[in-house]
Amino acid sequence: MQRAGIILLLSGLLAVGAAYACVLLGIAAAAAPWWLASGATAVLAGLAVLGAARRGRATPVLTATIAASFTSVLAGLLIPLALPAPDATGPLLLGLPFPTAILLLLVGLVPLVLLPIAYAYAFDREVLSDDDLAALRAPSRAAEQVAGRASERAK
Amino acid sequence: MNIAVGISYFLCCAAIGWWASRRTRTAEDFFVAGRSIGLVPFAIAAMASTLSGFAFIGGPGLVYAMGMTAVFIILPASLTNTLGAWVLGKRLRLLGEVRQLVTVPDAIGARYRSPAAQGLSAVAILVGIVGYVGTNILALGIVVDAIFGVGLMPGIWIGTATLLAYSVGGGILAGIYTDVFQGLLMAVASAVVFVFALDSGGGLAAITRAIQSADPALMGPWGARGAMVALSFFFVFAVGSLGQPHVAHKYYMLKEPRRLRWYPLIMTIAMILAQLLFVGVGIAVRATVARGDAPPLTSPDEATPYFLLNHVPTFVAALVFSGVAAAIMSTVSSFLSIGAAALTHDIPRAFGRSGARANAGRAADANAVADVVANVVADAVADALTLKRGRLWTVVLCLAGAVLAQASGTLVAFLGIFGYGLFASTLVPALAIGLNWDGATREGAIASIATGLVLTLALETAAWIKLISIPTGVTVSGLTLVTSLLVFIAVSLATRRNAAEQLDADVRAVMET
Repeated sequence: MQRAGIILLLSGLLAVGAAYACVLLGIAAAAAPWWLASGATAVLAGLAVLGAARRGRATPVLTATIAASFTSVLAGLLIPLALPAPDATGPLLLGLPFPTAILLLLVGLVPLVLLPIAYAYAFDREVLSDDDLAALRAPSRAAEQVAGRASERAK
Repeated sequence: MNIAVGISYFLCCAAIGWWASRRTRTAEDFFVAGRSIGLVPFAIAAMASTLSGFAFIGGPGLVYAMGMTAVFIILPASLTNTLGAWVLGKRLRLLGEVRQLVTVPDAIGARYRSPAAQGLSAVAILVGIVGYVGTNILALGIVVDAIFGVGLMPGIWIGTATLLAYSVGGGILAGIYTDVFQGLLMAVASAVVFVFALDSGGGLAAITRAIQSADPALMGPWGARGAMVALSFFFVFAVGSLGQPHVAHKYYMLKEPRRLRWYPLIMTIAMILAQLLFVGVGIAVRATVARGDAPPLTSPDEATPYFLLNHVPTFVAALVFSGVAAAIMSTVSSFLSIGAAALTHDIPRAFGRSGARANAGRAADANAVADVVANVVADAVADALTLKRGRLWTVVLCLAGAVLAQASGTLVAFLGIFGYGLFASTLVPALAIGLNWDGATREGAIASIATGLVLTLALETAAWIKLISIPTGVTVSGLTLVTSLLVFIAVSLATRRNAAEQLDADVRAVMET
């Protein structure tokens, strides 16, 4: 899973770099926003995958949430790029021009709701359980006990 | 009314500082609040220090000027509130506990077993802080002047004195609890103003139609500046959020790591409320101007003051002005704390001068009774010295910021611009990726921090003195962030044979938990 995260991150960075290169070099500038939208989403998804990865453990809820959230973000950025720019008489959705509303719903609302709820729901099984914490704290507890005994002997 | 609310606000901050200073006895209290902060104060404080005065003044001004383009600065919050906990929160909190860490550069030093990487990241943080503190103290002076009518220079010094009153005595503990008070104030003020903003324009649909009649692009999905600028904002502010040291530092302070479970949800709710003003005021004022009910603003930054003076009751306006001061002060106090920590803790450590924490580690391993006693005494002395130095550097940094705030406006603006991008390009690779990828190496971390630092300073300076011209749609912070991330991955892959030996067993355990 860590490898998948790094591959996603690296491909996203190359796409963002390609977008900036298009603008800086003045080559295929029309493609630049498409590269940037895809690249930025891939970089963020790669970071999320890295954060969710745990050695030797599956994280199905977090993985599914990442897939759903970042598919939504990608769609939310690419659909408005594909749609014509809204004019002053076009239809409104929730008080906003249609492409703007689509963008805000898919990039803003969907991950805003999905991510924190999935994180809380999967926390015990996929993020940090009591057992995980106890295992991590065991070596420092042992060291504290050694230091405590030495301190008592000193008194 | 403004003066009464303003005085009440500043008195509350000073009272919290006095209370916190009585509870601050050790360096750990001063820098990480004794690792004793509960979930709700932690989440609200994180929100308050994330949002500076920009969210109340500069942000609405940008929405007024650019429309939807500016919304891409806050849109990433839909992802980053959870990503922060997901990518950084758990591992920083656990590493902080296992290694008794007190600063963000500490985590970098522990992760790569590298004082050089720790020192270099501390230098990057200090460079960024100087500009941020100067800019925010200037903004604070403007707000104090607006509330009390005392003039800019006295305003700067009144604001500085209040900051010093609670930051020096109570350190980060005072910072956290004033952040909670200030964060609540910001959220309430923002939500109330948002309701007035929608009401003043006749609802969102009416506001949209009014703005579209003047310029349809403003309410289009990418706003007036187009898709590249909007998406660049999205990329830099989303990824960059994982490298903001004043926010990352707060993870150390959470009392119980399993409380992180509800942090993204609480942070998200608090952030939504506090950012409503950002969008609401910007579009409401733009619609008012588009309808011809008000003349165009001479400066976009006038959007919030114009709206407050013309569309909300005096008490609410006073509340928002206090909210602006709150946003500024909470951010500055966080920066003062991490700046003082960099100077007293991280940079000395990079030069081989260990502090109290290192002694504590040695004491735990010592077998000889005499060693234990000697180390305990040395720890107490070192701790008292660190606390004293921390307070001293807080005063120095705050006064330096106040002096800088009186320099030329363009210099202050220049220094303030690159802070966010500098933190992003220097800290995201080594911290956010490094804590989650066991293939990251010390060489990669040092190369990426140096790349981010040098490239940001060189490109921002060259652009400021007009030596280079960056085309629309490309930002210096975006370029440096991509470059430092690529350098980090490339150098780490090239030196990956060193990766395993650079990871201590306890750090590996944290990364695999």
